[in-house]
Amino acid sequence: MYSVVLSSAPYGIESFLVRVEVDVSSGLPGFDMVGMPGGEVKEAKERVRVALKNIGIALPPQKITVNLSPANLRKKGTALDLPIAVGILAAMEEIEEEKLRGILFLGELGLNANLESVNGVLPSVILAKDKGLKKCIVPACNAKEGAVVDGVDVIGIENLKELIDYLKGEGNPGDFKALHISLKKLLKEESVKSEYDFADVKGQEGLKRGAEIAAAGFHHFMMIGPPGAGKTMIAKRIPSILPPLGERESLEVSKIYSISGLLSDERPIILKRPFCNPHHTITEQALSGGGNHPKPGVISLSHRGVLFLDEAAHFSKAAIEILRQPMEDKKIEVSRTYGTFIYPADFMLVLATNPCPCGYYPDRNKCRCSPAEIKRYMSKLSGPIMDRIDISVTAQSMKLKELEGGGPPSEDSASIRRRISLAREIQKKRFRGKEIDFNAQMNAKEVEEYCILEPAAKTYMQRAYEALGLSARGYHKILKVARTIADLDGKEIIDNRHLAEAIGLRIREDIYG
Amino acid sequence: MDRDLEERILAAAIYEINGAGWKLLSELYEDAGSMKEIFEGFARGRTGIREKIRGRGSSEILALLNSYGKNPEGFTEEKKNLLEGYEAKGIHFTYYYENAYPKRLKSIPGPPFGIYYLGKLPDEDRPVVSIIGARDCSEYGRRCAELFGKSLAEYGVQIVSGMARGIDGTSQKAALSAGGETYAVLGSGVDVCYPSANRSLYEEAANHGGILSEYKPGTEAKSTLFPARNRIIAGLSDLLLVVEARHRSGTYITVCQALEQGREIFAVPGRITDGLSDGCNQLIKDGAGIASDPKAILDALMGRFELQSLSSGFAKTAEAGVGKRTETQEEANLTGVAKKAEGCTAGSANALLSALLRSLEETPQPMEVILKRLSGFGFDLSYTELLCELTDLCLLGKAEGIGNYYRKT
Repeated sequence: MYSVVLSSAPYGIESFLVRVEVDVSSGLPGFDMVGMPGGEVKEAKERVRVALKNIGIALPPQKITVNLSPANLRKKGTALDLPIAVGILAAMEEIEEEKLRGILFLGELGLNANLESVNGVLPSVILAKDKGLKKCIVPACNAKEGAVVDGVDVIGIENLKELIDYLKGEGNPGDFKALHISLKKLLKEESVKSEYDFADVKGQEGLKRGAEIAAAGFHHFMMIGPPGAGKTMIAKRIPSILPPLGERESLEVSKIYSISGLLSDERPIILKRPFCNPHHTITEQALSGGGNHPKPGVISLSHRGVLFLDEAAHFSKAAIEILRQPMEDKKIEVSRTYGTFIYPADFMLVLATNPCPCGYYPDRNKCRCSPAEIKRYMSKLSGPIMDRIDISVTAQSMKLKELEGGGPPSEDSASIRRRISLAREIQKKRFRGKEIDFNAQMNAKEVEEYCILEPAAKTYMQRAYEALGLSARGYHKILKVARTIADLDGKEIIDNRHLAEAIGLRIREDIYG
Repeated sequence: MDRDLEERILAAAIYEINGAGWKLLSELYEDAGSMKEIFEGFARGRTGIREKIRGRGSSEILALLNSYGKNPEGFTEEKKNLLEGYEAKGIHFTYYYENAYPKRLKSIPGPPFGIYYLGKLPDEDRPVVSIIGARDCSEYGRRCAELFGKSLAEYGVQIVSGMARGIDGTSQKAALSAGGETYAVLGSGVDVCYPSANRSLYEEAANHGGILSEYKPGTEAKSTLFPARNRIIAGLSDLLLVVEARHRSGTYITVCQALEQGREIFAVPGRITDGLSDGCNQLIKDGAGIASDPKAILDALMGRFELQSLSSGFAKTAEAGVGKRTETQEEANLTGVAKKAEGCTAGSANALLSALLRSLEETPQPMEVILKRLSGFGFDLSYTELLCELTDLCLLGKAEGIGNYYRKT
């Protein structure tokens, strides 16, 4: 007998529909699988055989053939265990094939026939929705992840035996109720709580202000300072002042995490802006996405969030260079054996670095690095990456008094976020119908259109251009940052003070020369 | 052949050999009376020569003297070519017993027997001041080096230093820019520019002054050669000025050598909290002259030399001092209360500007420190406001920013 069961396999961060065809017919007993199964899929054979045996169903002494269609794409992952088992049962006429229509099956089988969690449930459920399927059967621990998709019933099951009962119409139907979760509600509840808060940071007004402006305009941000100045502390709190994720954004990010196997029963969906903090020994592949069938890299895992490179000067040059294309295109194209994959990578880059090998320049009482050493240290970051950084702030070590909390209480993240949300609203309005969302993404023409200066500010900018020997790119960066500062201020026209602050926050290539 | 030239050729030939230093060569010379006599006396078997050399175990010197004995004319001709090769590159050579040899060097213990130089040697009739200090100097040190280099050069003082980064190079550049002369003593051959970043100074000093070294051309710079080099820096000078030095630094070695040589030492005072001024303050404590302004140095030289300003501009530079704060007195008269009152009433931009300028220093200060000082003057600015004010100052050319450290210009 012949049967067809629907399932899916991942390709990039999307899933494609897989038709699992099973044929059981007379011939020499055996179990064959065709249709370009990957390593994990080939192993499904043994898992399925034993699992069936352990629930009291022996495979018939017949020839079993499984085909995974489309046969020209390689299938990865362990989610095909369940559909293969179900297909065999249907082909053995244990269950009626009729009952399987319109259902997408996903799940890994244990030898005891329990269902284990699999990666990529979310994109598969989205795929099911797109293909007009009404129901998805997934391992119970993955059910919440799929349940955020509207219009598809996601049913989580624990065990193959249970599933057979369900499909046969036996057992308690109450156990198999479809789960539905409102993403909107989740996001609303989520936005209030945050592990890190700016209220914990004493002093460092400069870093805080820089972070605020950077977050408001999605500007790439660099912090330079000695060890212990609180650079990492500030970076970790940047997500807490970014506006909360929208529904669409949350799904985008969750899809990437789902494919990477980073979602769990406790965290079935990503509700916070991601914050990725790779160690400086990270390889190029881990950053961009690697493997024959590449997994999303760290830059994609920080999509819509913050990519924080601590000790940026210690990253390998090749790794840093990888950031160039994504910073421009907001996505990364990874070409590997099984094709070219496009992963989203729209992140806000936050760099932290010491100014020199010892970390204390320009405090010459402590720093004894030679100019050549300082130059060499900073040159690891030079060129195209520095070009893309709009805001740079130098910090110095904290005084004990500040740490003890003598001064006025620090502003908390919520009030900073309120200002930023207003600035974001202004930007949303400004760029309606455009392809960009934030001030940082403006091109030269847009800068001209939207960065309108007061007459006095024009003269000021002219003077700055001459006095500071700015480059054309430096000039545009200052205008973009000034635009964000004016937005935070609620002003339509940029005035002197906005410009002055933007100039003070510019990145100075010359200082370490 | 000219007798002096022949003498110089022979001196250069023997000085090129490792191990033939002032001690041995001067002993031989004092004994024989001339370079030629050392060579010829050796060939004749004059007593004492062979023994003296043997005692120091240099077979190379013996080999050299032997080869002279076999063919004196050929030898002299060959070595003449060596010197001419140097001359073609602009490198001159002089040795201890020549008139050209700097008289000041003769008075020091262990002088170099020979000196290679580009350009010229310091003028004997005009004063020489060596300005030395830390390589990783502070902004304060740099400005002092500039001030002293420039002001002294304007009075015709020749500036000697080691052409290193920091104080050395800065003072020499300042001397050149004031139209003066400067002499760089290197720890490498005179044709090796070290550090290479000071190439322009190297070239200019060769034209307006000289580049000196006791090491033969082609010798690479080595840190082990620097202490020996420092004794020449000290030895060439009438007075040694230390601008900025840490405790127990390379500069300190030079100072010790200068003391041994009986040179007068001056030090530029610094703050007691400043690590880079520790050495100078210690020197002052130990009795060094206080270089509070260039005039102090000129006064010290006045007794020995006639000094005349090359340009009338000097008076101004000397008076200006090291960014001297003319308002100090006025400020001291203000009590804490008065200061506050001043802050309250002074709403005008001018008052803020002057407070801001008073809060800045020559060394870059972090913005947090500037904020605190301003609030001491009665101005409570936010971080952002201060950043704007400082940017204004930078555009006016009154301040300069290094990250969010700012300093006066």
